[in-house]
Amino acid sequence: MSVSLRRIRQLAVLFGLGLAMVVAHLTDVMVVDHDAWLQRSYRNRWAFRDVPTRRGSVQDREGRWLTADQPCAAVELHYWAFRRYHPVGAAIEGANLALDCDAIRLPGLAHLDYRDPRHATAALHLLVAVGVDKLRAEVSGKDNARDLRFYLSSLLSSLTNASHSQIGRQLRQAAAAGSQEPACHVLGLDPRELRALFAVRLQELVELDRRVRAGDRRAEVLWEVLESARAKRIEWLGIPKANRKRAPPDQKLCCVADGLAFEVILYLASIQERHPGLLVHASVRRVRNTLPGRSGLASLEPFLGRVTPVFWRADQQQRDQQLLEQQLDQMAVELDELSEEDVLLSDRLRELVRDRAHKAVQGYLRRGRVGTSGVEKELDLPLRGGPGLRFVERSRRTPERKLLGSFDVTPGLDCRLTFDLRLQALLEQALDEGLASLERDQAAAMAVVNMRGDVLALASRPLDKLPAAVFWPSAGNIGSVGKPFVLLEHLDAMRRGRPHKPHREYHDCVGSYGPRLGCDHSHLGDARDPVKALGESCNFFFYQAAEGLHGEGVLAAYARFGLAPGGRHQQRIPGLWLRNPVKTERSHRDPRRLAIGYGIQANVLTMARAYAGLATGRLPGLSFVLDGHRPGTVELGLHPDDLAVVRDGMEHCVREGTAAREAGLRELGVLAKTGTATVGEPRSKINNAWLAGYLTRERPTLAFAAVVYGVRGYGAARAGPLVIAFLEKLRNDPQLWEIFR
Amino acid sequence: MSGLRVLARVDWWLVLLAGVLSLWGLLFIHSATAADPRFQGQHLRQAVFLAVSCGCGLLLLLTPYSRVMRLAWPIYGLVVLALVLLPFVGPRINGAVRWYRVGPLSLQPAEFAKLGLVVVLAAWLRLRHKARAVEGLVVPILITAVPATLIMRQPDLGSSLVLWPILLAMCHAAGVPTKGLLWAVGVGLLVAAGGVFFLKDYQLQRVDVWAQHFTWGPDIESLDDHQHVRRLLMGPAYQPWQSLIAVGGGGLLGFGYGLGPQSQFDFLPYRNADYIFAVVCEELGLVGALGLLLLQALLVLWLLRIAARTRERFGRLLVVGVATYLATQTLLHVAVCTWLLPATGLPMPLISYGGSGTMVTVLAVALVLNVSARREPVLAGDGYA
Repeated sequence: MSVSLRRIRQLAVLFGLGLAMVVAHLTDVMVVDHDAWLQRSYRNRWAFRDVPTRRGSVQDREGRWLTADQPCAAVELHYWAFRRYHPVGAAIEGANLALDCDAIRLPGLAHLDYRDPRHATAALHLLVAVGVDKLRAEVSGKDNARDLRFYLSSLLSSLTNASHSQIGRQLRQAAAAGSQEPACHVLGLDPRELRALFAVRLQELVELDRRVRAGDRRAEVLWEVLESARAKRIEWLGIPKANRKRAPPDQKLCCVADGLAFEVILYLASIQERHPGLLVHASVRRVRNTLPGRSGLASLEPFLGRVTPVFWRADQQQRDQQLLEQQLDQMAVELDELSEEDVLLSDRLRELVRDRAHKAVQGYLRRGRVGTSGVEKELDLPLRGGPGLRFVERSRRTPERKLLGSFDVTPGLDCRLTFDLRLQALLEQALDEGLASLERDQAAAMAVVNMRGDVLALASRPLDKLPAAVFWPSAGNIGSVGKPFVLLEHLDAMRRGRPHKPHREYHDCVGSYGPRLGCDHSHLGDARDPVKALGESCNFFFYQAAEGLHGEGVLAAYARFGLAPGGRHQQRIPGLWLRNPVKTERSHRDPRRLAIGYGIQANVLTMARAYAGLATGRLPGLSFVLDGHRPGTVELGLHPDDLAVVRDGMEHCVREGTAAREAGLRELGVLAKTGTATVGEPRSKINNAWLAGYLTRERPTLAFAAVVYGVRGYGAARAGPLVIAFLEKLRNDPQLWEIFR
Repeated sequence: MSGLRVLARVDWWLVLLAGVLSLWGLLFIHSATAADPRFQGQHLRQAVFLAVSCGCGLLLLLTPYSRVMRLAWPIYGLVVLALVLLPFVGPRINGAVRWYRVGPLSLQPAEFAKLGLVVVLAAWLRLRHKARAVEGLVVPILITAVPATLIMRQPDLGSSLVLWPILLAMCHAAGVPTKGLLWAVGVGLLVAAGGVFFLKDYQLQRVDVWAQHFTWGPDIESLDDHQHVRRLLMGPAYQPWQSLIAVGGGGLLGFGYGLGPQSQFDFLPYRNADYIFAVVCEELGLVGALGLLLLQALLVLWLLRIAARTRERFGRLLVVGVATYLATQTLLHVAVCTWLLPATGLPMPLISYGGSGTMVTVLAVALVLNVSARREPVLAGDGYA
């Protein structure tokens, strides 16, 4: 065999070796690792799309919605597309690039930005005036020339609808030919016409910005968003390529506005094709019902709470895992059907599907709107519902080619609260009117509950402060509104033989009762009559009663009605923030001061509840949620005669006592007690003015408590008008009056 | 020898092999492009390319190949000139200047350079005394370096790399001392290592990510959340990764003709040309892929058989050069599709879509047929085996 033939054979062997190596690798990839690659293939084309669920609405006791989901739209900016294909984006970026590479000069201005729309117009002027020789790599540098040509082509093609590549080619050819003419001359375009077309686009953006901000008060100014995106990109470009760990920031979507009504978005939809980079997508927003009047539902705003996207929270994991398992169980059935029709699913592929579904659910929950405060947080589980899933086959360019399976959403459940929207509206208006005569920003609160403990209405002022500060004063006393409870304890102690001092033996009320204790009036012999003493709020009676009951007895009087520690406290129930009653150290030292309401702190809710107890003899548990678990009422074990004495005293209070000046109360058949608790220095005459009671004596339906914090004046004079305004409005609505009187 | 006698002596087995491969190519170009409206009808265009190429091949077949030898240097000069002028005339597409626009057609001179190189090297090495002297290695290296450098500057690294195996194989077949060849390979590898510094950014990225992927292991999914790997898989590693998914997903028997999800759902880029083998793997599985490789191997072996039977040196070297060109390009294409090599655009001869590549391959086969049909010694001097 000749040398040449031998060498040809060697070549054949060499090729054979190469082929053998390739075949071995192919076998490894296609047979040994086939399963893994097949999974990747499925992962490429299988996708799970989560279907957002409707969050349940929060309703009042009659099913009128207080807060609910409303479909809306969001506007987002994709700056990558905006700077490349929008004439304004291309003009600004192109002009800045031209400034950077000295293709143009602009005395006194380092760069052009979006925040001043005049800059965009200036950018257009500058860019179309750039000589095409600047588009040559030798003049501006290779990358700059390429980018400059791109932006110029984008600008001109988006304005004239000519082909981008055609313009680019013409510019390149003109640059190669050494032309120094401006681009618009090279392309035979009229600069004035270009400016006019550009002005139209710019004006559309200005109009869009205006409308979006009118539709969403929290919306960012479009120009600020654009400039911020540009700045981030510049910062990213400044990082050396080797150190760039993040994807280009302009690839991410920036939110411009969310929660826009569809009317607002119609404008953008009509011009969207002309504004690449600005995207609209469907969204949902949580809206509050609006009430007539200045305040609307503002009092309830913090109580109803907020719904916001939150990151994964540990306390939700267990529940979400259950949700996922349920969904995957459903899906298993569908997958079996799918495997018969389409593909034979191996166990590993099933695992893959489970994994993808898991990620989809997790992703949804991370993005999902979760109640983060108030009722929305407390009732989040039933309100949130569960997301649906769509199992789709996709291609690289088509998000969904084929629906392989789907799982319905589990809509959130509607939750009914105990509030009555109409009563709430009346209360809000009453509070506005009643406080009109007081100082600005006067703090006040009023609550209305029924005899079952359902909170029917709850309002507070001022609106710009958290009601927690109003409902839960860190310091403050209830004053004389606590006297009915002490009287009841006194009467009960007499009846049952517990330590007491019979009131027949009490001294006359003469104004002063030892150091630092006294009464505003000299009630004389009335200090021995429990009805009159309560109606006229005679401190002498209660000092002496306290001496008989001792500190324990007085505290027990309040505790029985949930106003002092040791008694029947409100159970923790969803949606209700109730703090356990607190007492001060001082109250322990002097039961007489305790008996006239000093050292006892309460809020309008617990006070209204206690008065509901006076009305029925049973202490109800307060409740905000109509459905589901509700605390029951507790029999107080009081003798009807004792209760009758207290009710007589409250009636006396309205007819002839401390609230007699508020004639409206008498006319409405209200039983009430006033309270004036001095806060701060005794000489300051700054009081917490209380009025609490219920109506009517024969058929109790509503209990209420009102307080005006830190005001000069007495309880009846300050809190009375609020109550009267509310009750008169109630009476003027025959339908409501029929229900609640 | 008259044209009819040449046709009568044509190696019809070779024609059959090339025909089957071309038909295979047409089928898979159709499969790869049918679902995408942007590329629909490419199989028909490829059929036209094939028909025109066969016409040109027939003309070449009827022309005594000794005339081709005499025209070797003008052909080489023409090809080099085309490569030199390309940066000034050709349009830039995807950042590279590789094509001449001639009306609706695009001509890729790098493809013609491969055949031109084979012809000129065969002409230079046909004289035994030259082949065994220093000029038998140095001059061919210089001859190869000129188009290789010009092609690399386009940039088209893949095509420029194909030229060097052709040089080595032809020198080896011509009888260049093995020691000298090994020295040349050693020096060539050193130069290639130094050449890394002159690679473009995107080429360096491709090499970098290729080297990285060997360390990923089978549990790449566990790294999927890793931002860096995800960015690579969506960036410089996208093409080879999708190709591997297509190849590996095919398994033993594949998804079936026209049913490969990677190609049908548009995940696999350049599937009509640079990654057509991945389409074959995905749709016909390992069995189909081996079938195609077997056909390609048969073609190459058949060419080497013809070379071995040809006594005249120019013809023999010509056939060796063509066989090496086809074998190298096929192996590189498969290696790129399976990510044994960094991503680069190399079509598979007779299978991938492309006018220039098809034309050159058909002309090369026609040259081989020409040689096989005229095996009697036609040249004077020491140009005999």
